[in-house]
Amino acid sequence: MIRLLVFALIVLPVAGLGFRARRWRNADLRSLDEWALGGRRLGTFLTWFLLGGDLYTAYTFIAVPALIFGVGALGLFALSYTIIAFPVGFLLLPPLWRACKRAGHLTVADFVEERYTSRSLSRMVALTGVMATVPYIALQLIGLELAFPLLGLPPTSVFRDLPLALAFALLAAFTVTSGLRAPIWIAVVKDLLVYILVLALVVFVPASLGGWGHIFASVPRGRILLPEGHGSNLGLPAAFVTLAVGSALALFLYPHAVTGALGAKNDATVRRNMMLLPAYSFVLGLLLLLGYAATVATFAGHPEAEAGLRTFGPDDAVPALMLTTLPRWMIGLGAAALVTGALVPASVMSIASANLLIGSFARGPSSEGTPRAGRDSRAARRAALMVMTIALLFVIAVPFTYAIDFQLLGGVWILQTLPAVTLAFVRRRPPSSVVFLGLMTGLASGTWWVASTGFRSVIVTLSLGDLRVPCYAAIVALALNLLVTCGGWFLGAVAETSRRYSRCARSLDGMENRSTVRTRDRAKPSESQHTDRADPGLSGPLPYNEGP
Amino acid sequence: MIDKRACGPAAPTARPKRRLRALARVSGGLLVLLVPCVAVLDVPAFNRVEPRVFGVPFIDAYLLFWVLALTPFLILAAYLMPSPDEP
Repeated sequence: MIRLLVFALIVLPVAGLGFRARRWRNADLRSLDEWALGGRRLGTFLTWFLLGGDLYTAYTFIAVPALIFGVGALGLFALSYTIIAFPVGFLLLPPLWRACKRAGHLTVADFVEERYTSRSLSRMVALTGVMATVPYIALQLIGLELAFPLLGLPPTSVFRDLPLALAFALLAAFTVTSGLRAPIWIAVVKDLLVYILVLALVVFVPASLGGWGHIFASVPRGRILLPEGHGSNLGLPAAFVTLAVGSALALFLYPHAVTGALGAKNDATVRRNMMLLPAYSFVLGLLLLLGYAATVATFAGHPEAEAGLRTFGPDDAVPALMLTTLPRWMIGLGAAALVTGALVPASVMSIASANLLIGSFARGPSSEGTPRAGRDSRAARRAALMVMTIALLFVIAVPFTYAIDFQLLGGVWILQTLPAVTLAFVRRRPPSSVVFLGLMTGLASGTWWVASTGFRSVIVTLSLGDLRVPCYAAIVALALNLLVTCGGWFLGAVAETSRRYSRCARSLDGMENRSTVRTRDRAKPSESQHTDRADPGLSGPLPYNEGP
Repeated sequence: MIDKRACGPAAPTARPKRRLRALARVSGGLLVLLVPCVAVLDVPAFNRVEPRVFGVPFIDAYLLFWVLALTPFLILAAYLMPSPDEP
């Protein structure tokens, strides 16, 4: 009862804050810029909370510790990935912010459309963004599902689905009402709750299991380390590296990450946040250690923890630890932290997806003038609701062993937009058709590989001669994507050069013929020499010779 | 009073020099950003249990160390690669 009370005392005011946020700074929420980006006026403090709130999600609290609990050290790739992601964001996001601010873009798809002047490429980038975000929102919904058994509700069908439906309704209501303002303010509370919870877990868990030294002494060595490859098989270290690199390159391409960054008031704020956000990763690191603690903990004699693990599998590792080690009132706080930790990113993700859909499908091209504010904002709210509903259906329909696979599947798709986005900054860009072809190749091959595992894993084993390389499907698909894009770009450049060469040769031939005719026709040789040297385009009378 | 050294014949060479210096700083910044990335991808270098740090295996302690060490690297990169709006 005390758990439920603490939970209600935290979550109800938080929900109120989400609705109240619409009045913050007295903005006109009919404007898409205000509803979707908070008016682009966020300073370092709020951007830090928003980006932190939307990058550190149920993935951090549930999925990664679950992977450590289920598989072992492979889950540590998440730490490597966050370390690589911030240098990538540091290089990518500030110029993107400047370009989007200058042209008034709300999404990456708008930016791509402006740079390549291609509607179809921009629509494909938008669709990829939405496709990649849906499994990520689904992961947040799984986080919500796992939070409710902490309150003593049995994880049977009714008690599992009803709270999820309520939380979903709450999410939809405050997202539609307040736009990005709601997750901004809820993120501040969420972060405080998460820090309290992690500190409590880091103190209570080792205290009840005999200290970190004892915990790690009890974990089998095979789980602490990555098993080395044998013979021609590169083994899990190869999977670790590709997972880290692929996830890091993908992170700041996700629409919700871009939305969080575009809400900042200037590019310096974005850069400053890239420097400060690693503080969050330290929390992720501490949570990873809890995955090891869960492998040592004995859940026998704790019927709620046992039932949770039976129903949800390894994803229930952290909630089960909370049930067995924390005091009752703190379990209520933990459930509230999990719920807000899933609601904030889910809200930003659905807003970002709505922006993409509206920007690319329901609005005229950016060159057609200013967006139709009121109508766009209404359409965006409907689109956000639609994306959330699709994510809910996704949770029910797609069977993954680990919740983290939802995020990794999204990564396979979103990473394919990397060439389109990064090459857009280049002055001499490849043609849009080539980039489009590369994107489609990456998407098709990545999806095919994951589908070939029955949507159960995102690791594929490549055979390169005798060598066997376990690899994150996103990286292999990106390699194909780049091959097509760069190959097409190169062939296009060769074709263009040869076309120019032949045009030049033709014009030289023409000039030669003309000069021969003139030499024959005109008596004075000096005139023909003058004509030969002159550019044919400038050979007419010059304007200043025309006189007044 | 106009300082004649600030203009005149010195001016044309000043621009390439400045450009070269900016290029060197950007390259330095990129190298600084590369260090943590390489450090956390060199799996054979940190895939071991000993030495333990406060009972935590080396592999975990090493990655946690790099999480904390990342911010100074990013600050150094920001110093080396000023934003276009900065003076």
